[in-house]
Amino acid sequence: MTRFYRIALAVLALLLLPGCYDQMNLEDASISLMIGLDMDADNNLVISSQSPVFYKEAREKTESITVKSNSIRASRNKFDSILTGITTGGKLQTVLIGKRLLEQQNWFSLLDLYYRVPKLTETPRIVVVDGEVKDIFEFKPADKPRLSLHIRKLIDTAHMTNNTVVTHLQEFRRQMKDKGMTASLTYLKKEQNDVVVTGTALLNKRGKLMEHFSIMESTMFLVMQRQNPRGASLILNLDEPQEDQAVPDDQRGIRNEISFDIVNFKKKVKTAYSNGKFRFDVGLKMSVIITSIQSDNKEFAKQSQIQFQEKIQANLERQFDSIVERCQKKAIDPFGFGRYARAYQYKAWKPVQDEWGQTFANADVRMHIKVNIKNYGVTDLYSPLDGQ
Amino acid sequence: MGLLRTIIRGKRQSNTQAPKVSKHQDPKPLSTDLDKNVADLQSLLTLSPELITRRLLIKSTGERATLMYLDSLSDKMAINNDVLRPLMHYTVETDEPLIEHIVTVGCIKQATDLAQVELAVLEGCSVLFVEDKATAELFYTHGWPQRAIEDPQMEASLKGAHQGFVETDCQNIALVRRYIQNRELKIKETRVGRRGMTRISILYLADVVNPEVLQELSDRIDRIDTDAILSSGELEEFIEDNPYSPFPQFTTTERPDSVASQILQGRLAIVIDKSPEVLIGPANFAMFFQSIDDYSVRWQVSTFIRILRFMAFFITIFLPAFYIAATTYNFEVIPLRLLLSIGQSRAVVPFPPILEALIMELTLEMLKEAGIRLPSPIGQTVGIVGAIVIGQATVQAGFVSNIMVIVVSLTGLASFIIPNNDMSAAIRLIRFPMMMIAFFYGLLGVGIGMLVLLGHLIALESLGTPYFSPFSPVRFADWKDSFLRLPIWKMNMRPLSTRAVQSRKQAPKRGE
Repeated sequence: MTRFYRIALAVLALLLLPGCYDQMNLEDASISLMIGLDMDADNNLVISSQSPVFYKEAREKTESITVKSNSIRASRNKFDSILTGITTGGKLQTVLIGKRLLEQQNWFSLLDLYYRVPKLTETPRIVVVDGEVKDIFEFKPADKPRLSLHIRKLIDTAHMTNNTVVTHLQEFRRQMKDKGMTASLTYLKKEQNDVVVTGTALLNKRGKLMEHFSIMESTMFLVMQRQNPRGASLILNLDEPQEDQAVPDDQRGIRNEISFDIVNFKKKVKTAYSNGKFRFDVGLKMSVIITSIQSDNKEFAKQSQIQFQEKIQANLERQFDSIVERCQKKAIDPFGFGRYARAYQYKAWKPVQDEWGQTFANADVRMHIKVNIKNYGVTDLYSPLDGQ
Repeated sequence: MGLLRTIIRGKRQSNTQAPKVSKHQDPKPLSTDLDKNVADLQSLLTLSPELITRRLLIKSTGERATLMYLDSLSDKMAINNDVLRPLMHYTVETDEPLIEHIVTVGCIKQATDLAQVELAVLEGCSVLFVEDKATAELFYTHGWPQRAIEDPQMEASLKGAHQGFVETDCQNIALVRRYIQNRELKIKETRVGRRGMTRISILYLADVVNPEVLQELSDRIDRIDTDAILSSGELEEFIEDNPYSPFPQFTTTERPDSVASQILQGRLAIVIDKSPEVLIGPANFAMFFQSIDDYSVRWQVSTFIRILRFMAFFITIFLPAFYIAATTYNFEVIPLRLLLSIGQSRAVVPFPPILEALIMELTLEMLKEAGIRLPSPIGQTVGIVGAIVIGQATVQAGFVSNIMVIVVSLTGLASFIIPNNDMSAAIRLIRFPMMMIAFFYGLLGVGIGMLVLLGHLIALESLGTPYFSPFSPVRFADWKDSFLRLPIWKMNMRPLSTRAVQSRKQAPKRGE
């Protein structure tokens, strides 16, 4: 039995050898929840971080810090020399990127660290800030939870209601690496007393901010990308120029507006290549439920289902065309048409894959929208008034 | 673990080769001299004031005789009415009046050896020496202090029977026989212990049980050479496969219905005289998570409860370890909102998580131990002290964090819902090394600990049958009655893990 005890003792001793070198108690850590990257007016890289404070004595429950530094890693040392705890990025929620930084060549190589170190997370949302990142870090809203939690929640809920995209670090890497598409990020703005989601920022392959979609356009963009099209709610203005209207157009307060929820959705893309030009026929079939029709003209609401369907189709087609066209003008492809080209027209794709943006700009994209109204709602404001 | 086992196995083998000592004393035949026999027995049992020596004349034959018994172990009514009165007053009209014809006691045996006589007297028999005869008559007139049959204390049941085993083995066997009235229910009886001479009976169904398993068990019992076996736990330590494992390798029960059910599955029950607990083997891991009530409630309910018990097993072992690992190394695994609230409650605690956890877990163990040993009116106050001291004061004093209190209460609760006390104690013990390894290596350590534990469970055997069956080796047929409890009419076969030779136990149809 002495042998058994000897082995047991040896194993125990060996167990202690490696020690606890990576031990870090939770309360000793300064858990960075939000990090901001920006350029200041003198073209210095400015890195900000925000982390929660656990100590009872502290009046503020969040500490924010901004330092000038050459890289995220180098900034950590500066953070550590100022903050109580040891800065860790394992629970990072949001990465805020200043608009000025997007002007820099290859700025996204700053994020390389997050892909290499396994302890860091891949899920923080990456966000473009319209304005200075520092303003957001200095912002202390009284009626909101911790700012870092609030912003993360804000983006996620905005995505749930189809107001913007959600791009986390892993997805961003894919969008930057995939030759068939360009990146699209959440677009955020600091206003007087609020942080506001203003839509979607579109980058080109070099990471430069080229264009941005408003909230409504973001919804259409998400529908086209088939991210969560079910339950997407669209509002269309169906105003038409009318000759015989009693009230001049600029005095009308009540517009012809129709809103509907998409309940069923199908997307089909046909890819063709001829005469050095790609052609994409995008068929979008959607079943919708009308949620409201408002108008100052009773006759407008009384139109038949077919008339409505046609009007909605025409309007949607115009809008989809316009967002595609705007992207083509800027030679970006956030929709990922390049992936269809690669899949279906590989021979034509191969020589142009490195300048897909330019090629896409010349491509012919045609939208074919088919709307099927499934439901007008339980009852409405117009039908019972008919008799009067 | 394999190394551990070979070492342990080696130890066991060397044990078996030890010289065997005869259990009985050298034979010493009785003499024909009545006074010499009486004197011999008296000299063997000196300083036993309760030894009664009653000289008498047998009326039928006119022979001189002496009745001897231990007053404390005998039924005086039986001796007076069924032995002494017939011997001294009645005459029998036969040519050859035998003692059997006169005495009205149920069981009478003859002994020719003094050692046999001594043992019988020590057990509570009365012995009759007759003039000029070299045999002694043994009358079974036992009567020792014993307890009435009561509700089982440790294994209360809602729907099952309310009879529990007592300290007398023949009564216990009777309780089991009431459930299995079958000629195949065999009882193999041996005695163990040089001084105690404890009677040990192995109960089994002869046509069901695997003869190899039975042989292995009786060999192991025969090899025991000790003073006395006082309880089932002592016997268990002598006959289990891996004496260094924290896990129990036999189940113990004080319920005759559980024993009957296990015997019918093809297992062996070991009834130990003077112990109210019956050992059952070969055991497997899943058995410790089953309770007899499982079979009397709806099968969906009982499946749910069994899954709950297995979850409790993991919670008890791993929850404190996970808490330590998560707060000292891998806080990335905690959801953010929870992390913030843990951080806030941890910030006031001056100790590292391991110390915090050890303080609380040890307090829990102390409370539990205090509650067991104290008489129940005082025992209840321990609960109140525990609730107030642990639950509130320690947190308010900034001694431990709120979350730690939740973790400790959860592990305590989880360990208490495991029906078998031995298993519950084992896993409560294992959580301490698990906490240490979590402190040294974080989640990686917990993973290693889990693998070692699993490896050990897989390597473990009970009476030579795999302990972790039906999970490893995988036996899907046995899963019907493991962490699941499918309807009784689906369990047509006896479990494979018992290695029963007759495997079908019922026809595959339901009485409709």
